[in-house]
Amino acid sequence: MKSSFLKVQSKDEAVVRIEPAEGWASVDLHELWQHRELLLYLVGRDLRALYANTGLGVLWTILQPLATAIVITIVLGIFARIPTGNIPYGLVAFSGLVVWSYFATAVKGGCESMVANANLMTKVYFPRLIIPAVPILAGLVDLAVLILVLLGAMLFYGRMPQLSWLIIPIPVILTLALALGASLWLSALNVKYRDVGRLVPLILQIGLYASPIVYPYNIIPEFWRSVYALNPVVGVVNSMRWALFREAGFPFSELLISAFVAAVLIVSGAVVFQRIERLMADIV
Amino acid sequence: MSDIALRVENLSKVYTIGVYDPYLPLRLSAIRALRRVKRSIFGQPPPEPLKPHNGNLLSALKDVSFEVKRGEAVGIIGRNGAGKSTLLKILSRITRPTRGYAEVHGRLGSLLEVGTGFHPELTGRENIYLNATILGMKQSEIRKRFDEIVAFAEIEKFIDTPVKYYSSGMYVRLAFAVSAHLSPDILLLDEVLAVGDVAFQRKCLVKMGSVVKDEGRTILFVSHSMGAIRKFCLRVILLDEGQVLADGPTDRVIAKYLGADDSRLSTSVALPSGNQGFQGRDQESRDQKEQIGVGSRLHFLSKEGNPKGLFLLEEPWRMALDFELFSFVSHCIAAIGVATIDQIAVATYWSQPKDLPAGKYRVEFDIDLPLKACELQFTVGLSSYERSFYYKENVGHVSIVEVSEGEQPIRARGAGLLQTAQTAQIRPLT
Repeated sequence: MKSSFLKVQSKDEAVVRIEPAEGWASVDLHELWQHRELLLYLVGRDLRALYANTGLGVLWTILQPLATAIVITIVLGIFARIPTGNIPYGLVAFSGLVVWSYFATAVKGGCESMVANANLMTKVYFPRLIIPAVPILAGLVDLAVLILVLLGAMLFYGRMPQLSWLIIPIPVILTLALALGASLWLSALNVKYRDVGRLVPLILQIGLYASPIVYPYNIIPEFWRSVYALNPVVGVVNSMRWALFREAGFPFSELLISAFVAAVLIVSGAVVFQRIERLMADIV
Repeated sequence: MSDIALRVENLSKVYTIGVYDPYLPLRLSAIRALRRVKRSIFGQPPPEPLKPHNGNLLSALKDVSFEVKRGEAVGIIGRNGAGKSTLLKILSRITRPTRGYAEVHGRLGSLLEVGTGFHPELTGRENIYLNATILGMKQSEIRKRFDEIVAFAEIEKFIDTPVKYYSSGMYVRLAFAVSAHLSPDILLLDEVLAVGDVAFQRKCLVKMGSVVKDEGRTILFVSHSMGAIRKFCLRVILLDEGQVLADGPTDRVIAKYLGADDSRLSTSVALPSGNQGFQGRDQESRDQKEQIGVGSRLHFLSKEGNPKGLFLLEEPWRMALDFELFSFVSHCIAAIGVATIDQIAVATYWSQPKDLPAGKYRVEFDIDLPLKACELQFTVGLSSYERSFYYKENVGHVSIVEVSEGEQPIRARGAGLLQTAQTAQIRPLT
């Protein structure tokens, strides 16, 4: 009797207060941390679902951006002859596409995530913030594979490994942060306004050309660059290319813009997400 | 460390029903903004705010308050739409209340519908892990209990099959096994036992009993099965139209619920007109039969003749049937059949045959059935010789309860419908 009483008492007893959804709430980071295993589990689930029943498996990851890179290299690099200095156009395009395909897939997946997981949300409780984070983390596996292919292509073109390759994680983390911030906003809005889900592919399509993906940054006229660099993807792609090719100086200011935008998106996105999230089970 | 597991304080939930238009507020604010611009240009005062009229409001819960102590098993009953599921949804944090609050002390697991939180593409094994992780358990904890869960759910063979191929029975078995084994200090169960065969239902009830008694966990159990509620809840909360109508010992609350149901009065009931239960009778002959005579009212009385709808164990009581004859009936017999609400016939009483002229009559029956706590309903019939001319099934309602007002119930000893005399002695076999 006594021992069981002690056992109960030793449990960390969390008192949860369930209250009306009013106003703006702060993000419960402690609770998120407690559910980290769930996050990893859901990421694993997404990955398994992605590659289950596919004959080529992870090859699909490489195939899509690689095919795009080849087509674009032929059209823009060989026919239209976009100037890329002494760097092969194919490398420029592929390095951009690696970053972009991760970003685009993550944002699209993140945006759809809440609606796609509606059945989970109406049945069980867990911090909803986990949901949009899942496709973004799951995409990292694809990204890692693509980066390996990219580095392989570098070697193929006779570019030996350099120390600057070590900063590749910086653009990767920034892209992840940008995608997360965007997904927080979009996934929450998509629950309320389904138009968002249709709008996102359109914006991403425009974004592909509004960012230095299939062309180098320096073809943008000097005058427009300050406006152009407001696109947070610019800093990410530029720093990625700097790490690979070390052409111009390190793109500090663009990177700073990216970091700033990412931070603003994540913080504001989390707040908006929390606000809409409380109503989600009722409207999703 | 308090001994409270759940505290619910003035909990209310309002739903907007009708077509949900998320763009309405947007449109309204756009219109308002335009008007404001127009008015500021022309120097007029700002416009009145527009009110969104977005469908009708439905109060699913109204100021519900109660407390549940650690280790209590509380049943929640009520008609469809009474707010039972909404309450559990709020407690399991799927949706938020509109007003009031609830406090949950300790880890809470819930089983709200068939396949709660199951992902159809994942296998049974993966879903067990998924659910456990959602409950906040560590991988090592899950591994310890994994075999137990699979064995309980009886799905060993299908554990690596995606659950979308499961039958609904397998689904609910797994879901129940997961919740009951993994689940934490407080367990919410909503109508889960409706699926699954009798053997599994019994197994679940046993498990639930041991969860409460041996593991000291708290259970909130929503069910329409009074049998299941009676079996292991000592306390029941009755919800009606979102409000707590009664909260107390199981017998009394169930009696109140069944008495209040379908506007059946507990001490007497008007008998509906129109015959039922005959085979192959057309409207005309039915009308003809109604011409002979009809039952008008069924009364439930104490032994002294006072109206009463609730009787204690072993308390003798009476029933009175009022009926009216429109013409002379020779060899008239009035009969009342007693049955449980699960349609098990218990006994039939009938009057001595008598030749009766047209008029109003009453017949009284003394009831002294040695019944255990149960809910009863009745069949009423009138006949001339062996030919029945009036017949009504499932009318009225009476509760036999174990305790009188304010007493704490004791657990019914042994199952069954009848009280038994406990006189058997054990003696050595020689």
